[in-house]
Amino acid sequence: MKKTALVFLMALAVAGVTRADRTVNETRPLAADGRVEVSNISGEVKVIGWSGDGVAITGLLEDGVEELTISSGGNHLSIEVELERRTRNGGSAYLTIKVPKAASLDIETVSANISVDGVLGELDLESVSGQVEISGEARTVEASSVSGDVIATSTAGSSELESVSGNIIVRHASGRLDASVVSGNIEIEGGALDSFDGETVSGSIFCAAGPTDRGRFTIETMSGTIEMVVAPGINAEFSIETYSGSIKNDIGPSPKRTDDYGPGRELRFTAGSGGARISIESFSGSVKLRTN
Amino acid sequence: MKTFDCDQVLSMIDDLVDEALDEHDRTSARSHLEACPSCRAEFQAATRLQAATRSLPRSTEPERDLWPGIAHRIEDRRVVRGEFERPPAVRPRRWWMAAAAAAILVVSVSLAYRAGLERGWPQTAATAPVESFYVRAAYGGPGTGLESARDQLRSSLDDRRDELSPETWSVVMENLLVIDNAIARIETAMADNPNDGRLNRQLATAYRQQINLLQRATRLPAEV
Repeated sequence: MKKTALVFLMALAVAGVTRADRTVNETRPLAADGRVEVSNISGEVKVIGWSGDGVAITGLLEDGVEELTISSGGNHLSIEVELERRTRNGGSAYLTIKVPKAASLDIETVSANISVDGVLGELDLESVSGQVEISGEARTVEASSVSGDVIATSTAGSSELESVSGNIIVRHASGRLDASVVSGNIEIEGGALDSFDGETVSGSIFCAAGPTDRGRFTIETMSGTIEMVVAPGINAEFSIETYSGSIKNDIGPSPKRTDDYGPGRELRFTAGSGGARISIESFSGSVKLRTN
Repeated sequence: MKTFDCDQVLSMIDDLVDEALDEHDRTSARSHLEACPSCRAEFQAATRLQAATRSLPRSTEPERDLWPGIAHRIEDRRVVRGEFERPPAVRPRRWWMAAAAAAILVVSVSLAYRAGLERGWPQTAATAPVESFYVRAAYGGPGTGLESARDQLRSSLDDRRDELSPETWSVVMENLLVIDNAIARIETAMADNPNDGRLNRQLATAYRQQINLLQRATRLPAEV
């Protein structure tokens, strides 16, 4: 009797493990320039651009995930993780999705992290608290998180990155970049940008990327600090204004007061032959220009 | 050791008070202060302001609902536009006083936020009427587009409170407060400089950021 009970319990345990560790291994056809939509609550969505045909989906569904719904039509594929109602906050899904390189993506998660590598179409990526990470030369990128970081590497098209309290980190980018946070920080390292619009309310901005020959940078903060690392030999017109912050310039003239009797500093100068335009403005945050 | 002139030292007084300067700059600035009574006076004023600001409570649970009184005061804190004759320039205006007023206002707004949060919503300075030519141009002015949009978005977000996790709600509220504090500080500065185009631009930017955050928050996927 005891032996029978033990076997029964073992069978239940195995069933439980199986239930908790369901794996996904699916393929679906998709046009080379098709669009893939993914919706997941918790876990991870990892998308890789590949040269293969169609879409390959692998991964793991934890207990609490009701099902993975995959539906397609024409140029479009939809992948949706549905949780059991009783465990609305409990189940995580970890998905790795290979899509044609020229595909476009529309991904929405709650706490799941999103990473996209080597997909060249239009990327629309949104998470509430997860991290969003993009690598590769997508045509356009719109990526946002509320409290997670947004990290972009080697983007080349037009990128609009947003977070509220998370950080935006951009490495070796080119093309156009818009970055906006409230209390998070913005950090731009390497690369040459045609345009960069960066704004924070209380977060700091660190910019160690240069403008292209006719590049336009507009960098604004309310109370955060702005630090820009300027490459030797840069050709740019600088315009820097602050209401009550300080300006420190290691590469040219000193700032002037805008009012003899009140706060306000401004600094305008041309480095080299000009060409690019860099405008920096703060309310109370300090601004610093320095060389490497 | 570098030698700083008055402009350079005054531009870094905030950092000097905050001890944010590197050692070389700090030594040079302090050397200048020893020899310059005018800059020394500014530095001492800034130090006093910092001490006063630090003595203010960072987080206070109000014993009672302070919002009605604060709302009344904020309501009265309209920016009055018009031509003002500059007073005789006997001595520099104490802009530190304006900064201190802003600091006190920020604390007041924080108290209001706490009081409002307990009832479900941060009631902040941003509920005050808007009076700025940039903001008017961008949003249609007081009583029209901006306030209406803000109220509608707040109402929509309030309706969704049960769909968002406490963590997300907290992040949204805290960052709305960050923006509200920014708006309060700009408006305080504008009381002294109502026609300052830079301040008007920054105020318009802050209102845009507030609307953007409210819009994003109302569109977030349900978490709960």
